[in-house]
Amino acid sequence: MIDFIDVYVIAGLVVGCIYAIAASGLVVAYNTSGVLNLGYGGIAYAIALVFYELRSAHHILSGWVALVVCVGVIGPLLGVLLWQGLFRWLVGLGLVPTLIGSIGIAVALPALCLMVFAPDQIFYSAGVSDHGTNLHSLGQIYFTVDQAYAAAAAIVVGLLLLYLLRFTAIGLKMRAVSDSRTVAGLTGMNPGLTSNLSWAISGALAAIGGIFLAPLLALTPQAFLTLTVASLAAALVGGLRSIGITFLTSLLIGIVSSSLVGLNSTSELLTKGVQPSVPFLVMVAAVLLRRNPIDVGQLPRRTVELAERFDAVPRIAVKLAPITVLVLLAPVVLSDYWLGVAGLGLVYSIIFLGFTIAQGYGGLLPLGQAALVGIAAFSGAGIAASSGVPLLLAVVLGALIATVVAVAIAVIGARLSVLEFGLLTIAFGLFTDNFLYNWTALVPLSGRAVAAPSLFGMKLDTTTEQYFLFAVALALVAAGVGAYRRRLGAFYIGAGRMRPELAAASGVDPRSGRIIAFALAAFVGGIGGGLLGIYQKFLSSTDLTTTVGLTWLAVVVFMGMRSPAAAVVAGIVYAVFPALVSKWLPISWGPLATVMFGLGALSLAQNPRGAVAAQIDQFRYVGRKLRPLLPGARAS
Amino acid sequence: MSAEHAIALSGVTVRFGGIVAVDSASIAIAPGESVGLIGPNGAGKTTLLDVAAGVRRPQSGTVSLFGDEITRASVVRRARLGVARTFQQLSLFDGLTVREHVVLGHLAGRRTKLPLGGYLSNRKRLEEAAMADDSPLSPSMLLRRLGLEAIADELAGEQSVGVVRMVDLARALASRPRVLLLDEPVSGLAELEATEVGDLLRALRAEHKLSMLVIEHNLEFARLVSDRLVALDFGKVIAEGSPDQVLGSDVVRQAYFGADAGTEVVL
Repeated sequence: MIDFIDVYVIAGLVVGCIYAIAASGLVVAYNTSGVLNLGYGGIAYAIALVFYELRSAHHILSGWVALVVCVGVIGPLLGVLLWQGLFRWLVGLGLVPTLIGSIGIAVALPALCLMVFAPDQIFYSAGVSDHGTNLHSLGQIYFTVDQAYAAAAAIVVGLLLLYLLRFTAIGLKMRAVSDSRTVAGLTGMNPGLTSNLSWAISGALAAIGGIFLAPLLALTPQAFLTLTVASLAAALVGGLRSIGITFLTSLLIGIVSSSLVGLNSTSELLTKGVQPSVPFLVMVAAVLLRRNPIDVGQLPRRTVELAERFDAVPRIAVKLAPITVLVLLAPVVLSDYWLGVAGLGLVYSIIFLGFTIAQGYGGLLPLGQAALVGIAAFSGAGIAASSGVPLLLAVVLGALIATVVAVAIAVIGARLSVLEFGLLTIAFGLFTDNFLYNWTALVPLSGRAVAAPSLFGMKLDTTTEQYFLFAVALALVAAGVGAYRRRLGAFYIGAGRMRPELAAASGVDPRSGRIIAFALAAFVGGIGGGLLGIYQKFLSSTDLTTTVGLTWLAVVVFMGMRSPAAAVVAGIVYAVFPALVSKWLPISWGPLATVMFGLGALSLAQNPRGAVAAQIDQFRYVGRKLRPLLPGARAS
Repeated sequence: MSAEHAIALSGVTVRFGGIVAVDSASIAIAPGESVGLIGPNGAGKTTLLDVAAGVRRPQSGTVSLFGDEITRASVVRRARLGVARTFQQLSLFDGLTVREHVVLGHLAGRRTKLPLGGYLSNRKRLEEAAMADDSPLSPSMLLRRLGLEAIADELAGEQSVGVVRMVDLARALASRPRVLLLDEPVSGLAELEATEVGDLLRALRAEHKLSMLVIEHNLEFARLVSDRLVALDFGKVIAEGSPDQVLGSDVVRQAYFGADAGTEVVL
């Protein structure tokens, strides 16, 4: 029993302590600025990597000095910078843009750090102590120095936060600003200063969390995504308000996760499946069992709702005409390599059209969309491999399986708010990453090979043949999206997205609309997933993770959520940009594409309609300026 | 309450934690009757209207529509059964045009039998058919009658307060409702505009035998559009009767002006 406590409970308790620190940072920032920061793990990872560079890689500072620099200077500065430079603008646009902005941070910041620091594989990131792995004992219980410091940090942070929020004037101000920025301002407080302070605290807490977590888990973006999810789950149980409940839940998540492995450490189901899924299961429970919806803060100052333009379908076809010409010309002018890249772009365009339907039309937050794409891709490829069903038919069947899963999720989450539904989908996505992708019937241990498809007895195995296959598939999907837009259902779904309560009062059920939009998005994304398998000829579990899906979402947001043409441009850019980087820039610049895509999502505050629409506006502006200079303009 | 009532709320109680917002309130509206719901701020008027519309479930009490109990029916179901409402807070689909609001009300409320709820129907064709209809509560007639024709293709979210109220009303009327619930329909409007809305509502009610429940702080307007007034205070019905009776009642004066309500005060 003592061994069990030593190995699993203590280890879990300590990791739970870190989750508690991070969760407190999330709650503080949310309550004082209304930002639910999904990029929190990314921030913690970035600061932990800076700490590693200062302390271990280049030995510039000792552990303690590096800690003071990171927690006292870099963390708070980064927090204030993010608030001032990004979130204070996004928060005024509403919940969804703010969340997507934070996803931009989650995507861009770790990639930027990897590019700047280009660390080798880090097997152990030392903590503040030079003897972090040394064992000590308290009675019969053994623990490492790293574990002791992490637990001590959590206790100190917990007590300090409690004191700050409950017993100081600044804590009172922070709670007042959380309730109403306007009233707090009218009472003579400075809400801006208070928000800066809370973001500085949040940044410092991210620094503490990151620095103390790194020696215990791993200094990788994936490990820190787990930090985000675990702390978010704990914060949700605490109603995004109670620091006490958040702290306790964090500890419980840590202990339960670790102890489950202790029950049977040889069980793959426990170690690879259930244990990593605990935070996601807690998140699902916290979302589904809430009696009242999560408070999403104060109303936005202005709306980003854009004209729906249900009558614009013929114009969409006109806009797509130049793209069609380019698609047909590509095999003539491009080399085999670049034609392959263009084909990949067409496949991503189909996947991204799924985001357009779910978010742009349905108003949903498809944070776990990659899981549905993955389920479709793996099940389709699996059906083809095991039953002899033609591959292209199997791709459709895979997409239908993903659609059924999506309907189940949407029905379960039908009564949830947009935020809660988004959290449910990301929890499902992470569950898929950790559980379903470890289910060998779906994803074989060595991955899934995908043979070349055949059509009417003709094998499509050359780059050009597959390019045309993808082009035809995209044309069919785009035509389907156009047909969807002409249906009354699209009109109802748009109304339900804009004002659910008004739609309901008019006789439109917003929940049915959400289910339909989510199911359609899963089907379209699933077709894209199946084609991705054909393009790659091989699928592994790391191809379609939630992290990858968040990057996709960032790209689509950057280009424009509401426009199918923007989704196509996003798909092409997503395929071409990394190919350009890998061909022309040093290897260390590999993450540049991810950085750009993440930063692109941050531009949402400037261009709510996306970069494609902004570019078209620019062209129109130039056109208007040039028109008077054209011959005959004066006479007319 | 019987089938002779268009809508009837019986013994409705709504609590928010320890606060009783509506306390065993009963209101019944006959077909074609217009009832004004008045009372000071916090009296529970909007909560009661929310119960009628299905936004809020009462802890006790029942709601019936033409004799059928609908206490547990959703907002959507009630809208399709013919209960339409407008909102106190200005609330429109910011991305839709004025015409699209009215067409949405026409197609979605008291929905005509379309296969699969109309989800797969061609929207353009249905909209054209709706606009070609010249029956009294058709979209084209409502746009004309409510003075919205000239701005029909403009975005509703970009209009002034008065126009937004008209669009909301047109959307609700386009559903050809049997019961119309209006939450402060002239709030923010100038007096002349309020009188015009009042005249319009009276005319529409007479033409279409609409039953109406109208919440209004503008007591003159409430008097203008109501056959009867019901006064609420602290969630309880404190007076009920003709507008003159209720507005002249001491308990109503006291609810509005407190214990010192002078005899000079005329509501």
